[in-house]
Amino acid sequence: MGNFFNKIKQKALAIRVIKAFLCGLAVGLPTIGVLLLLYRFELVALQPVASSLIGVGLIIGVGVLVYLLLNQSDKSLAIRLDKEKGLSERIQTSLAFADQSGPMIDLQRQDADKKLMEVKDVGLGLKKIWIYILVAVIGIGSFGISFIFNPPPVEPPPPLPETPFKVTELQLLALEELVEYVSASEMDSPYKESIATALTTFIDEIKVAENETQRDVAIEKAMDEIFKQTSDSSYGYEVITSLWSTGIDTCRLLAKALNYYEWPKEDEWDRFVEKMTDYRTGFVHIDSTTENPDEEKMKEDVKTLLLSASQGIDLALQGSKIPNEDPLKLVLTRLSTVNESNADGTRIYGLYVLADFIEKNGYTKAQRELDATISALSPEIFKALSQNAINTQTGEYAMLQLAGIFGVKAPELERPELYESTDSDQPSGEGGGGGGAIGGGPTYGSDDKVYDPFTNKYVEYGTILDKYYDIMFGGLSSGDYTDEEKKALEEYFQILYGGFEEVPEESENENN
Amino acid sequence: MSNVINNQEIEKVQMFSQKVEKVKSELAKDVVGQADIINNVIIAIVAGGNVLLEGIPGVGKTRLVRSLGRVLSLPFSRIQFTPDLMPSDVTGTNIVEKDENGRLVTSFKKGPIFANLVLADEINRATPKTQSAMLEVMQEHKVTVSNQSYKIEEPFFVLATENPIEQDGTYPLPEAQMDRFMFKLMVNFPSDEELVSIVKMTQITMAETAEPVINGEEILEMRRLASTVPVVDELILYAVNLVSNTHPELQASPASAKKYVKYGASPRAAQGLITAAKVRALMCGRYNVAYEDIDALAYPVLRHRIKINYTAINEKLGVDDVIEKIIKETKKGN
Repeated sequence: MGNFFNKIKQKALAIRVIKAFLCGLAVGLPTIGVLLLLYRFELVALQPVASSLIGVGLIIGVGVLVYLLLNQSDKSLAIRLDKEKGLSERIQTSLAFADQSGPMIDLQRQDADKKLMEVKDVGLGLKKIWIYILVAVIGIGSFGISFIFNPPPVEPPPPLPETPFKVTELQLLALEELVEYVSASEMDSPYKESIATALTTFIDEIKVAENETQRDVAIEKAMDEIFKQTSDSSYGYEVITSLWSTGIDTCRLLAKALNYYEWPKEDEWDRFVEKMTDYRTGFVHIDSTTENPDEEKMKEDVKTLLLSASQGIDLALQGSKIPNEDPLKLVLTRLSTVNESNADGTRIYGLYVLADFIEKNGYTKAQRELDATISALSPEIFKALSQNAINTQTGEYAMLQLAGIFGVKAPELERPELYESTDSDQPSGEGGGGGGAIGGGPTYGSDDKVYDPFTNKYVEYGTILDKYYDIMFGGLSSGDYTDEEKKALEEYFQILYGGFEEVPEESENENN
Repeated sequence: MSNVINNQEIEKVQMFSQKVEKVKSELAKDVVGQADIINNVIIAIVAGGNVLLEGIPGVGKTRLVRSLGRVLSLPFSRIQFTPDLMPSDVTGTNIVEKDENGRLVTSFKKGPIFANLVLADEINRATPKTQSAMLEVMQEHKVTVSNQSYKIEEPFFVLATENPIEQDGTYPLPEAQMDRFMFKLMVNFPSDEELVSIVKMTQITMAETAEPVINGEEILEMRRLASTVPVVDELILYAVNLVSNTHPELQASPASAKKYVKYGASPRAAQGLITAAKVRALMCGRYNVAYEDIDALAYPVLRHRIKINYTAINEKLGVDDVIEKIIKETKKGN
């Protein structure tokens, strides 16, 4: 086959590549454009980079597909040339006999090449390439439109109408009572003053709040501050949690014992003592169970336990932000390292000292000294924990009251998780009695007894609330109150119920 | 070396065209018009085929063949076919004669068929027996008499004429006989202009003035040259399909063949198509066969080889009309 045919082949290949590329552009670019437009109109969540990648993939994919579809063999190209250019089968004959020679075949080949060269416009579909270019231009145009065309500005949703708010006199009264309560509480001084200040500031802000948004902002701000102070003043949690996390059995026993630190009640004291006893027995677990105890081994075991417990206490205290002068820190330090005489002349030894003591004086004597130490320090520990518990309880009470006054939810202080879920000693919500927001069930603002005018006795706060409500409802029904009084009463009881539970639907219906 | 050969071949091919043109110009001295007929006759002669010329009396059939005999400077004989013509009158016969010594010997006396160019005038007037005597000589270029074969010198052509309108006392050529003719050419009545020229020319002289311009050797060389023209397989397949498509009994044949054809062409038609197409290509200045060659030659090659049925006649379709339909319905290329 002549060189001219080879040139035409190369030209056909180039045209094929161009067409394939243009087709790829014609498909890929509009796709990118459409995706970008959809993205700008926020109809798809496809990022521009992903859209571009899809478009590039289409350009390549469609290009390759069209390239393959436009593929034509030399024979089909020759047939096409013969047909389109009226070459009377010269080219395909020349191609068919390309590997043969002979005078007539050579003449035919020359003739075919000559005729092919005489063809001015070989064409090869180049005339129709404008269709491909047009499609590609449309594609590029639609791609460009995605940048030029600005979507209509999306109308922001109209702001929700602010619900007007005006703090009631009753709410202010309750807040002022709360400030007085906190100020008069046994909570450690810096914390309670901070909480009282936060509440006072809140009162100033809530007085000028005009809508619920401003109200909520003020509540949140005050609540955050109270929560912070409460959390900071409840450092006992850290110590207990740290002791628990040491993994030393005796420290875990101590953590359990210390966890009965909440509001001091008679039964809680008993349980605390019981747990402290458990703690003590943690050191003597071997003595009575073996008929012929190995004194030396017992000594070593208990010595190890004592040192571990002492080390655990030290680590727990070092890792916490508990102040140095704090009674809890002082008494726990003493439990670890004390070596002094009591007022009654007995001597008490800390755990660390006992470890040395047991080496010199034997196991039984050390056991007795340990009992004495725990007995001597337990009241001090309990007292120290009580202060910590007062801090926690006061802070939580302030948060619950604040939440109750405005019908919002109070944040919960994180409790140490010392117990497995199957542990019967689980105190959360049980051991705490009615105090705090944890534990589920009705939540009242206080565990304080209130005066019941009907029985002339101090009763639980919650038990008398329904009686008050019935009296109020009866008075409203009978028209005993003025409109102003009605409104004040409704708001008051709304606050009361909003703070702890919803009025059951059935009783609502009945009332209505 | 290749260039030298090519130059020689180019020269021969150019001579081919020149010779054809010379033949045409000489024939034009005696025959007015009929360019297509002359072209096709030349193609058949170069391709080595026999030609059946059909036309009404007086359109120049015999004159054309006579002039061709002179132009080709080939031994020419004319056989006027009549019902009483015997085969031996055509082929020759053994006769008993005295030799130099006076003894009686049998010798073969060649008939008029022993020529290079035979004009079988009004061939359909001879009996089938006599017509059949032409079979062997037309196909195999030899004559067998009394078990003795006599080869006829090449080139050998039979150009027969027949009159389509005077059917009384005629014997239509059998299919086998018809198949021996490469072409059947229809000599039409001349146009007014041609007729005027004919009248004017014959007012001057009735003599045929065409001069010999080519000889037998040259014709054989031209035939050899034409045989080397390359043909792609697609074109051979097309020629074969064209012939196959004339057979209504074949499942793949086109609708027109099924509808209008009674029986189709023989394989000789495909051979004739390709052979003649090669000559036509060279005459057209090409060195390869094209579809246009086959399409153009399909009419003279096929028209006497296929028989149309009553449906075609009823629809006033001639053989050429049916061939045209078949050509249109035959796919070209892959």
